[in-house]
This record gives sequence, structure tokens and C-alpha cells, in this order.
Amino acid sequence: MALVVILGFQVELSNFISYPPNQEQLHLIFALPVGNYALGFWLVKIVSLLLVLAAAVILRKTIRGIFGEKVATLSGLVVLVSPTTYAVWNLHPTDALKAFLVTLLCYFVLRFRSGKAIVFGLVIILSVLVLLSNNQPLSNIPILTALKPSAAEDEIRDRLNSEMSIVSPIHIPLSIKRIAYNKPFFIYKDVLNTAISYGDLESVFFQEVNTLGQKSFVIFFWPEFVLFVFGLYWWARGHGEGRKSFIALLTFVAFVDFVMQNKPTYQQFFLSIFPLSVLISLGAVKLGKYRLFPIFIALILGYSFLVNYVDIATRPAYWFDNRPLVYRFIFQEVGKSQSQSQHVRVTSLIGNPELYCRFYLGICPSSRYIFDSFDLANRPAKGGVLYAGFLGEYIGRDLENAMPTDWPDRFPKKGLSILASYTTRDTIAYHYGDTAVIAVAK
Amino acid sequence: MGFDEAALGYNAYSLLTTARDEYGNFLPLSLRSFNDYKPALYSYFSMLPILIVGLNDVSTRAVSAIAGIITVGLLFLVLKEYFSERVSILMAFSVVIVQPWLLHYSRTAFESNLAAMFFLAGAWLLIKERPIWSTIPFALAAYSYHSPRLAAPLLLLFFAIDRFWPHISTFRKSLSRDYLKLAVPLIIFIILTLPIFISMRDSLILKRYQQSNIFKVFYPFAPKELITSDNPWLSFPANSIYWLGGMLLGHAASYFSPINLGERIYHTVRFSPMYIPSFGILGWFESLMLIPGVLFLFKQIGKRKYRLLLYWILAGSAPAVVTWEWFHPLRSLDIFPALLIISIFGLFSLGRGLLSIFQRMFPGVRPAIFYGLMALVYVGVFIPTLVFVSENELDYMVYANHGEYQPGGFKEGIPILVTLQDKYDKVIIDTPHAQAYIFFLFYQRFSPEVIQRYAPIRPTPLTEGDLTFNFANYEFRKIDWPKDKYLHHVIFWASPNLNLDDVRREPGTRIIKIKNAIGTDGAFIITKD
Repeated sequence: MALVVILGFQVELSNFISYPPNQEQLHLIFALPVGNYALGFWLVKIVSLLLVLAAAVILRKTIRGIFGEKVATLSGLVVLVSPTTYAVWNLHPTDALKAFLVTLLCYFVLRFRSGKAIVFGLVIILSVLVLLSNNQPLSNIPILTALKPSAAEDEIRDRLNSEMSIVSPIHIPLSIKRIAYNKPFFIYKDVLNTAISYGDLESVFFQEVNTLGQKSFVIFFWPEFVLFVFGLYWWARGHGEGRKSFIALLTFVAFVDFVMQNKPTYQQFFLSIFPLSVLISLGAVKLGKYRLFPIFIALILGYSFLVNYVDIATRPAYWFDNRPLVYRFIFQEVGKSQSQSQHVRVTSLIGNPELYCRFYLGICPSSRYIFDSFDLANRPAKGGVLYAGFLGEYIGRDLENAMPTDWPDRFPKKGLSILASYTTRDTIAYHYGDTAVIAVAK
Repeated sequence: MGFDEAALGYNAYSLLTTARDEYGNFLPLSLRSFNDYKPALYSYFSMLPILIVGLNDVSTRAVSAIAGIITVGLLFLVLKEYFSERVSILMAFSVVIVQPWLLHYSRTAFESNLAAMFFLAGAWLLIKERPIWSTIPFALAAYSYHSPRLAAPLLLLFFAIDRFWPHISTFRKSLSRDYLKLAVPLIIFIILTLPIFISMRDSLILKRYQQSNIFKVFYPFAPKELITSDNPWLSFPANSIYWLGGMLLGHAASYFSPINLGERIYHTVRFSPMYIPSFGILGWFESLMLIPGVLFLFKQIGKRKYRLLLYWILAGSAPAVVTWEWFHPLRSLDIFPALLIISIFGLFSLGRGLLSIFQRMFPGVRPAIFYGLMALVYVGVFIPTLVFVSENELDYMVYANHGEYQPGGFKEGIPILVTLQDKYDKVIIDTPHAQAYIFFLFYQRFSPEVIQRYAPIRPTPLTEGDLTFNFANYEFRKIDWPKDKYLHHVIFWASPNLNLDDVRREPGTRIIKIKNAIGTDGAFIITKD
């Protein structure tokens, strides 16, 4: 019953917000044998939802034998109510698939229990993580960057140069400095710094009230931190190798996933929801033995759930990536204004516009569409071209991202007529301003 | 030096020579200083080094340095309470001596460092089950800094409740004087610190708290887009209780967050003397070991000395939790020894775990081989870490902080100014740095009797921001060169923003460029005949 309510709420919210697809989803939509892209979009989301649901069910099944029915059921619910889970099935089908595969593999690893099975299972899990965690160059993977000797060498050189710039340094012989200023030690330091960033209680539990200014969905509601602490306490003092190794395995996998990704915080921590949900549920079940406490927990978490989802509905631009919103604006306006121009040039500053063009307009022939950034500050606008880009592409970029307030007055001087503009909540095209403009050159 | 350091040093000098602070207050418990009412004990202790070597950076920072050395010794004593074998104690102590926060906060004149040393002494006495004696260092901590005024009585309260709790069922049946004895340390602490609370009747001292507390700064706490009602306490998505609860709990949890302790630097820390480049507070590995350490602590929670660590952190972080900054190292400095000890527990837990794996993988091999390997690895990490932490503090810190917190060139330039100013009628100072006047008092050991006479015309006690005032022949204002070039017998102290080409065109001017610690222009001294 609770499951139906939660999922129904999330589906309705998704419908209400009508957030446009992102590039990850567009690739899948176009791969589907469905002619109607809008239908394909919903299919991708439904499959993602089913994968996440399956992961929660597998988790529940796995932990039922270790922690009991109550903890198992609650864990599943804790996973599903998380706004990050909502974000994953709405936006990141790859992460949903990864969660399903990882929980399934963990289930089989724990089922077989032999040393070889565990090692083999871990190898498969880590391979899945590597394959599904990254669609970016290997050089962007945090742990690999930390392990690079060349990066360590650069850091050592910069540091030594900085110290030499001091007017009256304390003279420590280079031979002494080299005891620490060497590649192995700096690699050790950078690896540890990468690992430490996993211990981020603010991002995991306090994203609602955080002061970090980062763009991330709430992972757990802050009252769940209290349950987590109690769950950790009881887990630490509990007995049974199964309890310890299960959480340790899930946490290890989540940690590896974390250090292998360079993505928004909530995506990096998504797999961590699974082991942490177990601890939260354990805390809730243990505390639930005290009178009135179950009602209190239910009330406050219910309140948290409502507050957070109302927040998402009220401020979607705050929570969601603004880039698909810009492209939706661009192509909806371009669709309305196509007759006004022979050619259309759409910025590629914030993504691959060709994908979005195909989704919104269907056919986007290269004879008419150019998907590339432009620089009308230094080059004249070509007549008969409809431009869609950020302010800085029209009037010049600014290192502080500060665009002049009289920018509309500058367009006529360039032979451009403004058709529409859209100001993003976030800065997504740094140096180019926060306003996307569609203008046609006369 | 930072301006707070200079203020502590100058007020100590003022107390030494006149028994009054820079405002003329006789033997104050709090130094009005920048209207922040710094607890004065640090300055009183600083009187002795200033008497010996005069007022300078060394004598001002000496008290903090000595407090840091004593802290290391106290930490050794505390470690002995938790580790029984000599090798374990020495190994744990080796982790202590490479802590970046211990070195950094001992090299800067922080009254909170002095307070943290006293607080540690008090906590150690509590661990030794000597609560009455602990009230003395706790009281000294309260006279040294604001945070222990809340943290120390809280810790004593937790300690008393902890001793009382097992007897709660008998207490319900009959009130016994033995239970009232549990309150004695708290009462003694209150008596010893009564002068502080009496002086706080002057609500000006509380103004500091009122300005920086979370309740005022973030009210109504919820994001403004969610506020739909005039009364946020009754609003649905923006209910203030919910959001305030999250902030308070988040602030408390931040002191257990490994990333804050080991790596993340908040904006408010970055541009302050609290900043330790390359580190959060603890060492990197120690930050990672905090979570295993907490797990170990939970397992041992049945023993009072382990529960005391938890009370220590909760009480010690309370003053920081209720102020607006999410994570504030200085206000929570009292808890770092406890956090470090918990991390060391984690380190030892890791060692035991690795030994267990080693024995399963190599059942016939003696544990001594494992210990030997671990010792090699440890030394291989420990020695470079020691060098790195030291080098980071001694050299790299100067670069990262743009020249020891005050890039304005005061330390380098004021001695030059002093040799020139008697020949001129006025010194006009244009500097972007807040509270710059204190450096002109500090570096030339300006007569406190003269400065005290200016107390009536100085900015009022409730004024915030730059509290600069004109004194003697010093005038603090922006230089308007097109007009000021017509002045005569004047020295200008100008910021590097001034266009020197305009100055050079004027006859009778001489420019002296003052470089700061990283070789950039800190200021210009321009003499105009």
C-alpha cells in the first residue's frame, strides 16, 4: 500500500513537472523501435522505474534473511522514497540499470558465500561499475586522476614554484623536502583525498539545508540521519558475520562506484543508498520498540517526504539540470519561428543540440541546421540565419559571467532581432551569461 | 599577523604598561577590541613574553605556542588512559605529532588554542574521575575563549548525568545527598566563572553571540520560494521548526563528516587564519579512520571513559552548532583531541582487521612478520607526512595565505614609516584592509596611554565592520590624489591600486614600494614635502 502511494506520488509529480529528456535518455529513445519520441520518453522512464523497483525488491529479499522482515521492508521503502531514487528513474536510466545489476550480483555473491564466488562476483560487479559509470574520458575518473604520476609531478612542481616565490622562505634543503615532495607520496595523498570525499554527511543527509551550493538532489531526509546513527550503533554492537559482511560488501561496491565517477553528487552516492537504507531501517526498527516512537518516526518522515516533493514541484529549476530546459525552450521557439529564416544555428556550449533537435522537431537536415557555438561579438551575423545561443555568444563573453543590463539594445546594432529569451536559474554556460536568446539576422 | 593577533598583542602590551586595555578599561575580563569582546586571559598571559622580548610577533604568539606544546603532552596522558601497551601508546602518539591542526593553531595567536589546551586538561581530569579538579582548567578555558563557557558546563552536566543514570531507579525512591554531590563540580565551575557571567550583564558582550547565532542569521530558515504564509512557524512546506532542526542537526553532524575534517575547505575558513592549505583539520588518513573509530567507540560504549569521548564532542561542538557557520574550526577546537583519539581507534581497528585477514591468508606465518611489514609501511608514510605537514605550515602556508594573513605590507612597511613620520605633519592611510589601525599601533608599539584617550571618540560598542579611527597624526581615509597632491609635509600610505604615474609627476614626492611576503606590492609609502 505504501509502495503504491509512494510510486503513484512520484509518477504524478513527474507528470506535473514534465521535465524534458536529457542526452542520456535521448540516446535510448532514438534506439527504441518506437516512432513516437514522446512515447519512447515515457517508456525509458517506465523501464528505469521498473529497474529501480526491482533493485529495491532484490535488496529486500537479500536482507530479509539477514536482518529480518521489518528491516527488509523498511529498507525498500527508504530507497524508494528518496528523491535521488526519483531523480534516477526520471533522468538516469544507466544508473537504474547499474543499481539493478549490482543488487542482483550482490544477491548471488552472498548466496554462494564461498571465497572464490565472492572474488569472482566482485570482479563482475566492478566491471559493471566501470562500464556503466562512465561515458566520459578515463582522465575524468577521480581515482584514476589521483593515481596518475604526471598529475603528481605537476602538483609537486607547482608547489615548489609557489614556495620559491616567497620573499623570505624558511630554507629547508631540497633533499629534505623530497622526502615528502615525491610522486609516490603525492599519489598517496591524492588517493586519500579522493577517498575522504566519500565521507560526506552533508551531501548524503543534509542536502535540504546544505550550504555547499552544489547542484544535487536530496539523498536522504535529514531526520533519517538520527535513524542512521542509531542503526550504525546497533549494527556495530550486533553479532553475526552475515550482518557485517553484507553491509561491508554493499558499502565497498558503493565506494568503488563513487570514486569511479565524476558526476553530480547524488549520482555518485546513488548506490550508497542501498547499504545506508539498511542501517536507517535497522535504527527505525530498534527505536520502534519504544512507545509512540513509531508514530513519531512515521509522522516526521511523512512530513519530510511531502516537504521535499512539494519543493521539487515548486522549484524544479533549482533541483533539475537546467540544460535540457534551455534546449526545450530553444527548439520550441525555433519550431515556431522556422519560417523566418533559411538557416538555424544552435549553440553547442551546453550539450549536443542535434539530439534535442531530433526529439523536438523530428528531422533536422544539415543543410538547414548548424549545431555549433558562434561568436557574433567578433564576426558579423549572417543574414537569414536564426541564432539560438547564450548572450555571450552575441555580445562577447565575460570572465566574471557578468552581462550588461542593456543587452537587448545591442542586438539591433548587430542586425539582429530578438524573438525570445530565457534566463536560467543556474549558470550553465560560464562566461557566456545566464540568458539564452533566440534572434534572427535580418 | 592577522588583525585579531595584533589586537591580542597590543592589548597585552597596554595591560602590561597601564593595567588597562586600549579603551582604558581597568583589568578587564573581556577586551572590547573590535567590539567583539575577546576573552582577555590570552592577553594577560602574553604580558610575560612581552615583558621579556618586547611587543612583536614572537611574544604575541608565544602563549599559543606553549599551549600547543602542553596540548601534545596532555594528549599523551589521555592516550595512556585508552591504550595499555607502551608500543600502542607510542604509535598513537606518533599520529598526534603529525596533526596539521596542532601545528597550525599553535603558530598563530589564537585565544581558542589556549582555551582548547585548558579544556583538554579538564577532560583528562574527568577521564581520571577527578571532576572537582577538572573545574579549574575548565574555568581557565572559559576565561580564555567564548566556546568553553557553554561547552565546559555541558560536559560537566553530561558527566554528572552519566554517573547518576544507573541509580535513577533508587533516586526515584529516596533523595540522597550522594546524588547532590554529583552537581558539585558544576556548581564550583559556575562559582569560578561567576565574574564572567556578571560582566555579561552588560549585554554588549552578548551582542557578539546575537550577531552570529544561527537563529538570527537564517530566520525563517526555509527557502524563500516555499514560504507561503506570513507565519513561517505555521507554514506547511516552509515550517521553521523543520528547517531549523535540519540546520542544527547538520551543524552538529558536520564535525563528524570526514570530508570536513580531512579535505573540504569552507569559504568562511578559506579566507581566515583558520585555513590550513592541503588539509581540513585532521590528517587525511585520520579523517578516513573516523568512521571505523566511531564503530569501535559504539562497541565500547558500555565503559564510561569511552562515553566521555562522545559527551566531549557533543558538548564541545555545541557552541559552534548554534552559530551560523556550518563548520567552524576555531569555535570547535575543543573537540579535535577527542576526534583524533576516535580516529586512532579506527586506525587500530584497521590494524586488527588486516592482521585477521593476514592470518587467514597465511595461517602458518607468525604475526611478527605482519607487524614488521606494518611497521615498515607506517614509517614509510609517517616520515614523509611529518615533512609534508611541517613544510606545508612553514613555507607553503605563507604563499597560500598571501603572506601570513595580511597582504597589506604592514609588517614590512611600518618600521620604515616610523623612521620617516617624525619629519612630517600627517600620515594619511588608505588601505582596503579592515581594522588596519591595529597594525600601526602594534608594529610601532604606540603608546597605550595616548590611544586610551581616544576611547570616547571611537566607534560605539554596537558598531560592526571597519572600526578604524583617527589618532595622533594618523588619518584613515581614501586618498584622492588630484586634491591630496596639493598637501605638504605629508606621508601617504597607499594601497597598490594607486596610479603611481600621477604621483611621480608631482615634485617633492618620493615613493617607497613595500613588498609583502610573497613579493607583490603590499602598499606604497609616499612622502610629500
